[in-house]
Amino acid sequence: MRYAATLSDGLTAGSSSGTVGFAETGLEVTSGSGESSLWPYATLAAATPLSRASRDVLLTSSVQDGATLFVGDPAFVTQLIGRAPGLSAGRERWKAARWWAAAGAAVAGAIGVLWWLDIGPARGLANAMPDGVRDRLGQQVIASMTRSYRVCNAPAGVAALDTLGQRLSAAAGSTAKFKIIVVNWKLLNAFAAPGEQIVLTRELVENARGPDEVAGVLAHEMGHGLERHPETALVRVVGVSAALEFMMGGSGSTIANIGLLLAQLNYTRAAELEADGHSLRILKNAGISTGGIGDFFKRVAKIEGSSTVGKTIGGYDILRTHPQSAERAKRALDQPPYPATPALTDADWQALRTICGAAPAQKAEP
Amino acid sequence: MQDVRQFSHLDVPTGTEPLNLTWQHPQGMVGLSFINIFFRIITLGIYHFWGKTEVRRRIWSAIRLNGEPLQYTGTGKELFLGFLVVFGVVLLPLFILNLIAGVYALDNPSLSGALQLGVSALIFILLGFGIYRAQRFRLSRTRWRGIRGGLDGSAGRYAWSYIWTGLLVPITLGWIIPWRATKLHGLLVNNMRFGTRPLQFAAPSGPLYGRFALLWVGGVMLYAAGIFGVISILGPSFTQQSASGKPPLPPLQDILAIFAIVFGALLLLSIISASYQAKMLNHFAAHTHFEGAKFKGTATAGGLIWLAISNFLLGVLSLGILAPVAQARAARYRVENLAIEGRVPLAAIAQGAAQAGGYGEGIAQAFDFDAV
Repeated sequence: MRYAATLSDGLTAGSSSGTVGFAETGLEVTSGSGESSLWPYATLAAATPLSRASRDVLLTSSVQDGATLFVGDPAFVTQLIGRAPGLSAGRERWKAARWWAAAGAAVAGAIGVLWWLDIGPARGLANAMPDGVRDRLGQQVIASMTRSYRVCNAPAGVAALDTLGQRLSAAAGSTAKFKIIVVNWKLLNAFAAPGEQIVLTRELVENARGPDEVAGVLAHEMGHGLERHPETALVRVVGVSAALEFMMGGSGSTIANIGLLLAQLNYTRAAELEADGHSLRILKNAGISTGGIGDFFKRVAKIEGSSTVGKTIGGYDILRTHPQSAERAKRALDQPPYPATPALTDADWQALRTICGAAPAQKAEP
Repeated sequence: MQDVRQFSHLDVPTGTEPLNLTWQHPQGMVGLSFINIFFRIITLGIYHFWGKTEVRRRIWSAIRLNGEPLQYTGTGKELFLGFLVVFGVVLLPLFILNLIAGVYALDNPSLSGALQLGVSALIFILLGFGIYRAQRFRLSRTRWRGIRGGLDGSAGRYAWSYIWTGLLVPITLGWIIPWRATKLHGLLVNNMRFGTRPLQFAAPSGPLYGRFALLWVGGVMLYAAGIFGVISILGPSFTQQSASGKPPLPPLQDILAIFAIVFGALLLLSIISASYQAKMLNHFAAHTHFEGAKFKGTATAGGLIWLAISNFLLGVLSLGILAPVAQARAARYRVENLAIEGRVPLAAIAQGAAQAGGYGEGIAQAFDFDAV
C-alpha cells in the first residue's frame, strides 16, 4: 500500500508530488520522477507529536537534512505510530519529562525528610540574621502596617503598656527588650514582627476583658519573637517565592500563590503551639494568671467561623489557627494554679484601654 | 511561450504559485492543557518549557500554506536554557536589588527611589531587546517546506528606537503612538525573511490617526465622565465623613452604580480601542509585501473584542490552565483574517542561513510578554 505525499527537498520552497510506503526498516519515499530513498524509522521526526486523532503528518529525517514529507491521510498516521512508536505524543512527553520527574520526586522526598526531622533551612537563616537586619525588617513590617493606621500614643496608656512589657520581658528570661505598640485598627488582632517588636490593635485592647488577657496575648507574641518565627516566615516567603518563580518559568502565578499560601499555613500551626508554650511559661514567671489567655481562646473558639480576618505576611495572626482554639483554651485553663497578681493595676488598665482615645464600656463577664 | 519552453528545458520548475493561507484547527488542545499541567506538577514546574513547545508545534502546524503546515523546530531545552540564563543574569540580580532596596528603604527614601527608578529603566531597556530577540528566535525556528524563516538586523537598533520613541509617548501625550507602532513594526518586518527572500514593509502612519484621535478623545472624555460620575455619587458620603470621624461605607446602590460606570466606560473604551487595533492590523498587512504578493487583513473591531473577552474568561475561569486553547483561538483569528494576494516564485526561493540565538527568548519569557 502506497500513500500520496507532498515532497520538498529543503533546498527551495518548491514542492512536488510523490508517494510513500512502509518498508521493513524505514519509509520508502518516491518522488514524482521515480527516484526512491529510504528514511529509516529511527531517523524520523514529526512536526507535531502523533496520536490516533492526527489527521496528517509532516515528517523530516536526519538522512536528508531539510527535506520534508507531508502525508494527509489518517490511515498512514496510524500505521506510522505502529512502526515508529517514538513519534507518539505520550512517548515524546515522557522522554522530555522523565529526568525532571525523577528530580521532582527526589526533591519532594528531601523536603519530606527535612520536615520529618524538623530541620528548616529558613529557621537556620533567621537565627543567623544579625540584630541590625532583624530590626530593619521589623520596622518595615510595622511601617507598612502603620501607613494606614495611626499609632496610639496617649501618654498614660503608653506608660501602662511599658510597665506590662517590662514585667513580661523580664519573665521571658531573654536579654531582648520587646517593643510594643498599639495601632488604631478596627480588627481584633496581634502581630509579632521581626526584631522583638509587637503590634496590638485597638480592637483587641478594647475588647479584652481585663489586663490578664492582654498580658496573655503579649506573652504569646513574645513566644513567637523568642522563637524568631516572624524572621523565619519572611525568609521562607522570600525563599519559596524565588524558588516558585524559578520553577514556574516566571509565570504560572496562580499555582505559585496557592503553594505559597499552603507553605505559610502549615508553618503557622506548628509555630502557634511553640508560642503557646512560651506564653504559659512567661505568664507563670511573671506571676500572672493563665486564666486570661484561656478565656480569650475560649471566646475566639466561639466566634470562629464568623470572623473576617485577613492574612498578613510576616505578621502573626492569632485568629487564623481556628481549629485549635478550643484545645488551646483548655491547655491554658488546665495549668496547675500558682500565686498570681493582676497584670496591671486598675488605673493602669483603664489607661491602656484608652490609649487610642475613649473606649466603649467594658463588657461584663459572660 | 518561448520562455516557458526554455525553463522546462533547463528542468527548473516554472512560474509562480499563489499562496493560500488557511487554518486547520488543532485537535485535543483542552486535553493537552491538562496534560501539560500534570507534567508541570510532577517535574516541579520545569516541564513548562516542553509543554509550551508542544503547544507551539501544534499551533504552527495548524497554519497551512497551500495545504502544507508550518513547522516549529524549537525545543523545550532551548527555552529552558534561555530562561536559566536570564534568571541568573537579570531576574536574580533584580530580585536581590529589590530586597536590598526594601530593607534599607526606611532611612533613605531617595536611595530607594533611585534604585526603583534604575530597575524600571533597566526593564524598559531590556523590553526592546527581548521583543526583537524573541521574534528572531521564533522565526528562525519556523519552517515551511523545510525552508527557514529569519530575522536579520540588530536587536540593539530596535531597542534604541523602542526606548527613544517610548520616552516621547508621555511628552507627546500619546500622540506619537501610531507613528511609533508603524516605525517599530517596520524595523521588524523589513528584517524578516523567508529563506533568502526578504519581506518588505513601508506604510505611512497617517491613516491610523483618524481612529487614534477617536481613541484619544474618547479615552479622555470617558475618564472625565467616569470621575465626574463617581464623585457625584460619592460626594454626599465625603461630606459626612468629616463630621463623624469614621469613614462611612457608601450604600450598596452607590457601589453598584460606580461599578456600572467603571465597567461601562471600560467597555466603551475597549470598543474604540479594538477598532483602532483592527485598523492597525489591516493597515500593516496591506503594506507588507513578499516577492510579488501582498497581504490583506480583514480583522474587525467586533472580532477582536469577542476574542479578547472570550479568551479572558477562558483564562480566568480555568485558572490559566486553558491558556493553550486561548492561544490557539488567537492564532486562528489572526490567520483566518489574513490573506496573501498575488503569486510567488516559490521554487526560486532558496534555503537561508541558520541563525543561532538559542537563548534569545529568555528575556521575553522572564517578563511574560510572549503570548504564544
